[in-house]
Amino acid sequence: MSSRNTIQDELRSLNSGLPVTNSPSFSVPESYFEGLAAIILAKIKSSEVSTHTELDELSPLLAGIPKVTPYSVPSSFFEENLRNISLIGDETESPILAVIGQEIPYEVPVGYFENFPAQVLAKVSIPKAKVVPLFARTWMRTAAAAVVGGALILGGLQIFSGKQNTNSTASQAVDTASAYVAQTKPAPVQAIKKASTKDLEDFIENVPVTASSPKKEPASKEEAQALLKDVSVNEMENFLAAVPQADDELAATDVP
Amino acid sequence: MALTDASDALLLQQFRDPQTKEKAYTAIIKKYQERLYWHIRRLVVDHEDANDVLQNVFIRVWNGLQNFKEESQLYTWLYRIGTNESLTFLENQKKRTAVSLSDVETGLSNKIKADKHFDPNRLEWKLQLAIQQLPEKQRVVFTLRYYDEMPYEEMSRVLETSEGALKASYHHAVKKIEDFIKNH
Repeated sequence: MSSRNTIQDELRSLNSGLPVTNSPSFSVPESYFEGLAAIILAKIKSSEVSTHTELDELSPLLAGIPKVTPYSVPSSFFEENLRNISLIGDETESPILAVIGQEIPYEVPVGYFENFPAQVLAKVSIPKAKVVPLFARTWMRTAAAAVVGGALILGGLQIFSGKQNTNSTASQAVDTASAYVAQTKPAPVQAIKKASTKDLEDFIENVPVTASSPKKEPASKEEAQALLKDVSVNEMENFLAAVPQADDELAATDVP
Repeated sequence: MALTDASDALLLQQFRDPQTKEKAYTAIIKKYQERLYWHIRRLVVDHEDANDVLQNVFIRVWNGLQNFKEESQLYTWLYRIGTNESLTFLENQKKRTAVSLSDVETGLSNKIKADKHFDPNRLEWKLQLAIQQLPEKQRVVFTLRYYDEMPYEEMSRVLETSEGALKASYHHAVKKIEDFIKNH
């Protein structure tokens, strides 16, 4: 209201031609507002279509069927007898479905609904079995991690020691050959000369290189020189170059 | 006032109190078991199947009622669970027996015919057979509207479908049922 008065004062001050009166220009029928609520309520009710009216309009045949489900129910099944619900007589009621009705003819075991709540309560109240995770304890996880780490470290050491053995095998080729020469008897040099490169490589791989390898008689210097007489310096250098140094190999290998 | 007459709000409040949880839960079951049972039974036909589904419904109620947000009526929520559990049951039955939907419907019709009180000349039995010819969701719409006289507004909350679609579905269902009854 105060804002209305403010507006009116403002209009007067502006000498506006707009009406400043509070009274609206429109007329309203007598008792309009007194009866308005009842009119609106009646309209709402008339717009709500009952299921019976709807069905009667859709299908007089169905509307005429009694709303009775033919399944039977024992009288003592429910705590109180199931009420037979039938459609209240209504001029808009579906004729077919009005005949059928809503009674359901299905049979239900005696005492079913009386016992049902207890059955369900028993199911929901059963304490669930305690679930124990497989790896609940921290120490088990730590132990598992330690085992894996140890396996990785051992694997790395194995690879490293394997490489070193490869290097030492190459440098001991001459000694091995000399030992072999010492062990074998007549014409070892001739035999070696006749042996193919592959035979020599197989020999190197298969003859164990251990400290306990028996050395019956170490090969003499002269015999070793005779053995390698046919091997040129270039061939020796190439051989040595083909066998990488220990440090180089380790640097190139990713050891986890 | 007996607990079964208590308003849903009171029952919910008592359910959320550990001291009265079981009593409130029992009261909820007693209040809604029959309505839900018949709604389920009309869909699955067999009593044992209806019993299984109804128990599943109330187990879900036990597990979920604590977090029920009360955005809808309790019975709307219960009907929604009951409907979903029934449709899931029928779907699983179809998968379990590796049969087509029409075979499931035939199976349900056979169950109706196997009822010892079945009378093919009675209109109410014909109506049950006619209902089983409907697609599952349309079957739900028809039974909710016809037997439970559920308003479309409420039904749209239960089935999460628009009112217009539900009205159309119901109208088509009525026509199909009418045709079935006329021809059988």
